[in-house]
Amino acid sequence: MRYSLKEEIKNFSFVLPALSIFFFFYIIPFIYTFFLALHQGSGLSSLKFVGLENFKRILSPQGTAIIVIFIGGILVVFSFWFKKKIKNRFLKIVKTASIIMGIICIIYGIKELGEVLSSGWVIDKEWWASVGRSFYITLWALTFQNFLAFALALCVDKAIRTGYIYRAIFFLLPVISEIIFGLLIRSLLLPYPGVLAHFLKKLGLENLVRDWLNDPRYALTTLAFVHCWRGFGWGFVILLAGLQTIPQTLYEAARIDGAGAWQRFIKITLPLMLPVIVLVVILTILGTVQVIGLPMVLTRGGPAGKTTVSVLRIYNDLKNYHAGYASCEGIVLGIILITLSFTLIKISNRLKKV
Amino acid sequence: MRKIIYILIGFLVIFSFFGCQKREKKELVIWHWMADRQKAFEELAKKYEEEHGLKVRFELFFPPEAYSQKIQAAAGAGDLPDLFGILGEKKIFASFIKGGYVEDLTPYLEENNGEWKKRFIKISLEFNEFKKNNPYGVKEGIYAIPIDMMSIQFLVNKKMLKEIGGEIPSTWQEFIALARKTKERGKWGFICGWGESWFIYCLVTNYAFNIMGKEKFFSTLKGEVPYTDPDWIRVFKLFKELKEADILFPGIVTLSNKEAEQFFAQEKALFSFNGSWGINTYFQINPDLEYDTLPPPPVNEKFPVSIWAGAGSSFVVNKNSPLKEEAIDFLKWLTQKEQQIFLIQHTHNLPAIKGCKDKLDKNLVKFLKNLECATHPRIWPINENPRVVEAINTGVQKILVGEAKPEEVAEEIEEVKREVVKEK
Repeated sequence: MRYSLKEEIKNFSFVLPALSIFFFFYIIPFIYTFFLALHQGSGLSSLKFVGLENFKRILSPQGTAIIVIFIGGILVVFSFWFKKKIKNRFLKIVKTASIIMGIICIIYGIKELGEVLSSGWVIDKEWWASVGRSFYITLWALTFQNFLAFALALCVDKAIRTGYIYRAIFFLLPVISEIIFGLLIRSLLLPYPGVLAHFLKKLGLENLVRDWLNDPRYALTTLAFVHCWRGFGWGFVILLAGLQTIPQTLYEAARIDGAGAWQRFIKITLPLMLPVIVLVVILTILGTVQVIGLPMVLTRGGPAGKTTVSVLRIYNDLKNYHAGYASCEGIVLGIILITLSFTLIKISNRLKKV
Repeated sequence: MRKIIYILIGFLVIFSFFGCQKREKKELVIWHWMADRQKAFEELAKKYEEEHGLKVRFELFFPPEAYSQKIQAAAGAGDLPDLFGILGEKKIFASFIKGGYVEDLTPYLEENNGEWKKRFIKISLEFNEFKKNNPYGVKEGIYAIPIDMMSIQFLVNKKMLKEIGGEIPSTWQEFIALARKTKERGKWGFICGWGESWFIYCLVTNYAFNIMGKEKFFSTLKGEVPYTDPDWIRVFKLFKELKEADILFPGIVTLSNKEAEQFFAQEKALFSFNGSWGINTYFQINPDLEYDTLPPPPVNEKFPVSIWAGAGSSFVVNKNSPLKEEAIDFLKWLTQKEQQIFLIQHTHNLPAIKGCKDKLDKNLVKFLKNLECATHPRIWPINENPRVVEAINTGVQKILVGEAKPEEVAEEIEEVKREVVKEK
């Protein structure tokens, strides 16, 4: 069915407010981030165009050249792959532009790589260390936090009558402001007055007392543990909702067939919960890698930078008016997260087929 | 359907009209981050309206980090108020000036034979001054007006000092000995909010001035002297000595300034390193706290020790404001003796102008001592790259938690410095 121009305009006017908001508050800042990443400066006075210099600092000149070649390759390959499917004139222009861009990227990348290949690979070690710390916390969240959430969800799923109470209790922590929660925990963990240390001593667990926030050996793990403790409620609620969608008749049929609790869990619960688990895993990764409030109030990134996670580093760079480099760090982190999320979705789809 | 479209267009026109409408009533808008001063500011605004017939509105944005982002975003959107403050390094201040957001106030200060300029304590105004051929590329001039002052010094609890039979230390060794004595009595020798790492850099520079002298210090900043120089290693060793003397308050490396102020007010430590802004917290927690200020106890007598001091908070005038002249008149009025006394009595801050000493609280007067050795990065001819400063702060924290030796830290800092110089 074809619409007249008047009807097209009328229809378009209905989505115009939403599109405008999306365009001004999402698309423009998104594009501006890429623009800033190619510049040096605070974003207030004149910006200095530095090309890929910010990326070179993060990824090393060699790494940047390889990635540019890779992106160029992807652009060319995808453009040719869409060869037969494209009929629209606009898309044809896009395709040609992609091929040209891709070829430029490949030539530029190879040229750059030839120049810098013999020199040493110098990367921003502090940035990658901060990314490593974010993923260390994420590892804790994926294991400890999600196992705890799943175990509790399984328990509460059976307790139908009291389920709502537990749901409210476990969901209480994520609802509390991250800052307030962090300050409360900090006041408990501080070596002076040492509230937790005092209780541990009273319980005869003196050998467990540590300077959890100030000892470089424990600070990051403490941060990870506190983050998991606060965040398990999210996973719990989502997993519980997922568990309650599984028809009870399946369990009853399995029980009649003589399946034990473990078999019912492996053969029914786990396969049916797979999409929900993948969702929780993706949300956990995205939520944890972007954690900033807790390290800010718990340790301020210390001691000796041991809890400076990636987003806190971006924040510090922005605070110091290094908008260009901070944008570049944001883009790199975003690409890592997008790649991870797509990989997980692909794995989940494969598992579903199996 | 047509009716709905007409109504929508109607609303759009009305909203656009209101959106584009200019401020009809004259009103001076001022943005700031000073939560403790909002009430005093509001009273002053009321007084100004009564005297001059111009409404003044102070808008508070707290915490300071949020405020910084607010002005950064507003500058980008061309939506800055008539008057506002800029937080952070001089480089940031320079960015606002170069961006065309800040008015040069030099001609106004020089008017009537420099009447306005002569009011101020020298260092408070120098803080906002850009000298000729400055490294930021800003045109020579004074671009902000200080409304108060601050100084960062060592503090000593007089009661605790008396208990251990000690006297104000005049050397580093005496300071360590006194702090140790306090530790033996079950309290701590030294406390500071070193979780806020700029405090570390502050103390590092104070002692760098003392150990190597300012010429050599600036030569390091220029890249002519390496951080692995024995004098720099001596500076870093001071922190090792602090750790080894076991006098530091537990958890000092993640302690915030507010927490450190609270514990010092509760008489948990003999010495502290803090700014004049802390006296409010001290007074609120322990009105009977007896303390005195002293410059950092010197390590040697070869060069004088320094303290950081300068303008506490300053206001700049929006270059593009339609009320620019009114904003400058308001600043002139705000920095008159009467208003300054009102502000210092309500906010317990040091005045930015001369002639108010007799009106100051006895604890505030202590922070006006030692100003002869005052300095600040904002008045230095050159500043260190933030990445190197970060490496210094992190390195010193490493020494404090026993993760690295001073020599290793010096090597790490020098490596960052070399990278920065190479990139330049």
